[in-house]
Amino acid sequence: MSRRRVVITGLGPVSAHGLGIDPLWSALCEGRSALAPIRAFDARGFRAACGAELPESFDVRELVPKSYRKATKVMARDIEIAVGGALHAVTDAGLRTRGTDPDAAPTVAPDRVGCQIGAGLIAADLDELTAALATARDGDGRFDAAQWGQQGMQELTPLWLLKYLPNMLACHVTIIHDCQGPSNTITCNEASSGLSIAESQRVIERGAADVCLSGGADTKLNPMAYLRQELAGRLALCTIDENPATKIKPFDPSSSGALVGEGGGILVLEAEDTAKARGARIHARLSGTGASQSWCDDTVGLVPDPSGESLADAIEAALRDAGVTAAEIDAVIPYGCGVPALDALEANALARVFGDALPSKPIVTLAPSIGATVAGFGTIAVSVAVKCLAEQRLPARLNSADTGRLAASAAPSEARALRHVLVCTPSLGGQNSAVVVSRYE
Amino acid sequence: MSTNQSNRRVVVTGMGWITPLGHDIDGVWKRLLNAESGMGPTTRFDARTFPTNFCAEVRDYSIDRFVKDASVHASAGLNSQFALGAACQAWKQSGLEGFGGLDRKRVGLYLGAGEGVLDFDNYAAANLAGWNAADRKVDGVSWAGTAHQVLERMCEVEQEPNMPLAHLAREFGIRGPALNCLTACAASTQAIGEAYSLIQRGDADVMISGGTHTMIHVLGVTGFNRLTALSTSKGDPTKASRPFDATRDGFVMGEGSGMIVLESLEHALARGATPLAEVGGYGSSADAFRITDIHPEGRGGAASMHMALAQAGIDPLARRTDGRAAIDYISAHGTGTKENDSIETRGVKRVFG
Repeated sequence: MSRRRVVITGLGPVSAHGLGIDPLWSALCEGRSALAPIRAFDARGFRAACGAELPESFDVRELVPKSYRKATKVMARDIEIAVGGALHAVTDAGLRTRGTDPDAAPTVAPDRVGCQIGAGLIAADLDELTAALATARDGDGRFDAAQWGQQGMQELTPLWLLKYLPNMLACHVTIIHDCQGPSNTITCNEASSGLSIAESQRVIERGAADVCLSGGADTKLNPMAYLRQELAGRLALCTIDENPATKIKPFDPSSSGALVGEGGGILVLEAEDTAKARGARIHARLSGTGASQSWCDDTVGLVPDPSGESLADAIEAALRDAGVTAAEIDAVIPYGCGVPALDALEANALARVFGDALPSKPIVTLAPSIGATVAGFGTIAVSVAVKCLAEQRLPARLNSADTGRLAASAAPSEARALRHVLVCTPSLGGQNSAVVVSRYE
Repeated sequence: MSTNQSNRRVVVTGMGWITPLGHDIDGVWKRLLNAESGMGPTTRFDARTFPTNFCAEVRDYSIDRFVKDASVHASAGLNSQFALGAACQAWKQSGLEGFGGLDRKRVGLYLGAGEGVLDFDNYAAANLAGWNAADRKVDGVSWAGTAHQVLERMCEVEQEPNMPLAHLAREFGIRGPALNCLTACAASTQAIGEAYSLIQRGDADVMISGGTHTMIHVLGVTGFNRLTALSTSKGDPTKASRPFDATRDGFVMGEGSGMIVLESLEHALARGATPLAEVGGYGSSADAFRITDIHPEGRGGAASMHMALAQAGIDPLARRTDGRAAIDYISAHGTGTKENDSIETRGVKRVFG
């Protein structure tokens, strides 16, 4: 039985270069980095004081219908990213929804629209929570549960919890755009977006929806979330006085770690048959996905399976799913965050898959430009893959010098014939994801 | 509208749970039949002055009697510990541990695990140490100074919601597709449905699926108390949860884990396993209505029930030849909140008349 084909009709990446694919693509091709001192909080007490934040002009209130503005008060930043990305994606796909045009009939019936959005562990706003905690202190200034239960907790807004549940990304997006089909929230760290995109593919294939808003969003620029990145060994050493733009060197063993970037966004995935029937502009084909779990003695630790075997399994599963051989892959977008152990894992995985052909596979590195985008990565990377295929061009690479057998060292943007691009990532926790995006022919 | 893309049938070959009523299938089942309650005063933290100071806690639990080597899981948070106990029972019942022909790259995981428990005391200490009352902000540098001293690496990493996956993978050598979804109360049902879909698609032959979570901690109870979703009944905690009762006043928080082993029928039969049940169908939907309210007609709930029934080929309004209804038992959410139970009833009526 032939499988229902899935295509990409809308792009809504959100990154430190701004909303949508255009500012991101220009910056990547021109080799600009958005890494800068962190504005969100004073990060000088951490290993790294720099990251890639959304532009100051980003204002979620401008990205929701007027009637929904009040609800932006209960959106954590991660939710704002998903909401902004969703508006861009549905607009790019030429879809009318309750969110873009509340008075017109939607292009696709709401019960045929699904929503799968990956999310990170969202940390509470420290100022808001601590203002409440500070009202419940004992004589020594320590938190006092008795006072908190009696009175202190009343300081928190009644909807406080709803800002931080990971499924609130999909909750807001489905309400705004009236997506009543299958909906889910996948929380697998760096693999979240890729696994969500794969789930949307399955939902469309099995006929449970015709369109899915799919993607993921994350920000670690909150002291608690940021500390977890540091404790997990993810951050490069980068003081506020150093130039962060030259710090991140994916696949170069001299790299000292990663700097985090906010971002992610939403893609519109659609069944090819219904996309064609409505005359949609088809950007690319989502031709295959794969997933696997790492296993090694330190699976529950910080660097799962350094051999890269399990990431290679996920990539090979995606190639089989796409009906594409390793030789047919024209470019690869790995996580490539600059943490040496993770980069080595990915390099080993790619060597297993591509063998001697590895040096001829150009690698696209995003982290020096937009930081490590964690749960948002797969959405941004797939958007970039789509653009590479559309423009028949590779973006510039920054910073890396010695990348061994990987074609990942610094290089300007170049024109290139591309048919199939692979996106892949391992994760803290060991889930691996791979996605093959193909030129629509 | 849903069409089954393959005829691959999916069966349950093992199950396990860690609950406030006990840590094994048979014992808890007996207690459920005897209408026993796991509710009691909250002991996990000092909740005496909280609007709700009772819940259903897992008691006297240790992973030692379940896992092969507890030292491997030394960093496991409570949710991962619950998951390990439940999954070990399910794995044992499935008989897969002793099955030499198992291809671990064809074994996957799909969990609906919640996030781990915040290290609240130390977190609060760091927040208060960094608190600048004058400008009502936390000073990043002094927060980081305290946080670096008091917060522990693996305790923080364990709060990531995908860590139960890592522990189960480590325990059973799992190398196939692994996913975690976090959709509050819907999470483990969705996990089972999506695991079923992965097996049907041919992406795995065996999946461990289920969920694990606890929110019995200061900020968890705070969050639900602020939402006024929890029962604030006074008196006997075992009488506080009153689903579908006119006097119900909110839900009572429990904790624990339930896990099942799902397997393609073909794979189960080939190794001589006895299926306990079959997954007939699965549905998922979004209300797309409001942040805090369920759609008043139970639209989303009804849609997912319709989808699952359609996939299973069951007409909810039909009678069987012996005159019985098409569905014998509905395991409702039945939280005991005013809003949920009446709307859920409306949703069920939409489907079953």
